[in-house]
Amino acid sequence: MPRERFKTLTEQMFYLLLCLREECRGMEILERVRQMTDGRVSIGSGTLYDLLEQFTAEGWIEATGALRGRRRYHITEKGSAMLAKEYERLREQIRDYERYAGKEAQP
Amino acid sequence: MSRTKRLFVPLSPYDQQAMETLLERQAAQGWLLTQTGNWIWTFTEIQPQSLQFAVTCFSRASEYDPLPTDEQQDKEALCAQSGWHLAARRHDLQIFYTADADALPLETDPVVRVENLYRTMVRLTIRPRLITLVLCLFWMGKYWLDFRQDAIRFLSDGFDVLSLPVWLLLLVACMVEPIACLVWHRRAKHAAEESGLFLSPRIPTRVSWVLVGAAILLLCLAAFGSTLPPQWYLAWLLICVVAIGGGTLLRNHLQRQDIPAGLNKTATGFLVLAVYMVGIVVLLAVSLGSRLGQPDHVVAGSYEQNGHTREIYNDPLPLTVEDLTETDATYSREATTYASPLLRRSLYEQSPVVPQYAGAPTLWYTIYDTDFTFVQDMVVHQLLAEHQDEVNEDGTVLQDSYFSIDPAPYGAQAAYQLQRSSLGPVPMYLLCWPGRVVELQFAYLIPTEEQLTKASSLLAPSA
Repeated sequence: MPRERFKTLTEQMFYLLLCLREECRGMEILERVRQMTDGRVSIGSGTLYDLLEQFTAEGWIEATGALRGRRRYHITEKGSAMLAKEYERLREQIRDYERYAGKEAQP
Repeated sequence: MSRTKRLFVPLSPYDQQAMETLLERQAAQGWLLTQTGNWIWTFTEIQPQSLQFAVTCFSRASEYDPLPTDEQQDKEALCAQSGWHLAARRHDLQIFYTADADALPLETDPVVRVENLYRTMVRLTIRPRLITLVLCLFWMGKYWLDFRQDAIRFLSDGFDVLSLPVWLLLLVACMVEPIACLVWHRRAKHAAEESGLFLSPRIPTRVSWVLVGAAILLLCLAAFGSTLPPQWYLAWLLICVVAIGGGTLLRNHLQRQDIPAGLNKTATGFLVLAVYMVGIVVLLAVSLGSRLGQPDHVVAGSYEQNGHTREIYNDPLPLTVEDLTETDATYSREATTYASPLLRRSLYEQSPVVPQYAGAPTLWYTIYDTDFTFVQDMVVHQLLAEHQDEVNEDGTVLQDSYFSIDPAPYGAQAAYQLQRSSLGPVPMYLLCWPGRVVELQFAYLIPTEEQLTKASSLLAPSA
């Protein structure tokens, strides 16, 4: 997933990485993302599993502990770099918006 | 004790919506899924209720893995914590249900869902079909080489000609699903990334099965067009069924015994190959022992030559030496026919029983019959091309070619006679009528014009 073919992150991928700046378990992630976004973004548990597997395979996150369903995850440097890159991309979008649409919006 | 029932569910793993609808309807009728086979699904009786189902593909397990794999259990535990309970699993599918009508869907990110499903498609459909595609291309390449090497032999082989469309059909069948998967992936990925929508795949699995069915039907026809009896092909089919069936049983048994996937795959592959090889060796031994596929001849006797017993045949021939000249030699008359819907090739030989009658007139001829002009053109072209003049290093030409002769006396469209440098014209002729070509060769007999005319009248298509 977060391979070359996906140059950007979806909203759910973004918040998953953001929330893993602090180590947490699978179910905690679901709750934390909901809290972080005031319920605007929810991740289904099937999607969460796929993302955790693929981010781990990419080396964006690391898992500790082997207990089923109780494994803990945290972001790696590689994952942080990807998150920062996505943040920059979003900032550029905002800057572009402000430069063009923002001017029109001003009285 | 709760009752169970089984349903035949001929749905592909990609028909997730159809599966979910079916399961929700069954639950409303009081049946909950407990086991999924490839086609047979088992349900147990429950209180009729409204349940929500989610069918998810699982791309990280194969049919050789002991189930459930650790990864499957991880996912199931995670889903259970959010209220989705496992109903049944297969190596490629996990089916969850919840009674909570407001439960958050299991899969919420269309981009992730598309990629997950696509990975399953690569493993379940694209990769295996591509392997079969390579096999089809290999066989078609072999056919092309056979055709290039000897078009007449290829076109008059009933099995080769009739099995060619089999490989063409399989080739198309191998491409239908992978192309549909690739097209779906391209569209679904775009829709997911741009609009956040999930496009359900429509993979025409039934089209592939229809094509494979048609290919099997043609293969049966090809078996009837072969020189080998249909029983031979039935025996071959039985060997395939036993090898594959045995392999499947072993795979399932080892899977239940928690044998690692790698070992299971190796053992199963070895068993399938071993059973197939042993079966084929036995079949070939029986075929050779009973002269299966060998032409039938009318045996009229035998004679000894160089310590070997040789049979004397008395097959019916359309033209005999006796039709052309008087002879008191004892002959063996041999006829062999190879036929396909495109071309019939009949080889005839009347040769004296040697050594008593060495030097007696001898006759060889081959009759090619076809209903197709392009096939006749190919036959004539190949027969003419088989004899080519050769230019030596010193510039002299070694002649070995057919030259045109007047076809009128033979009522033919075209006629040729072979010439060789050292001998000049030799008694070998090529006569062409509409739908029939005859290559006729004499030894120890230089036919007169009258004898040749008589021979052609007996070999002409109207004779």
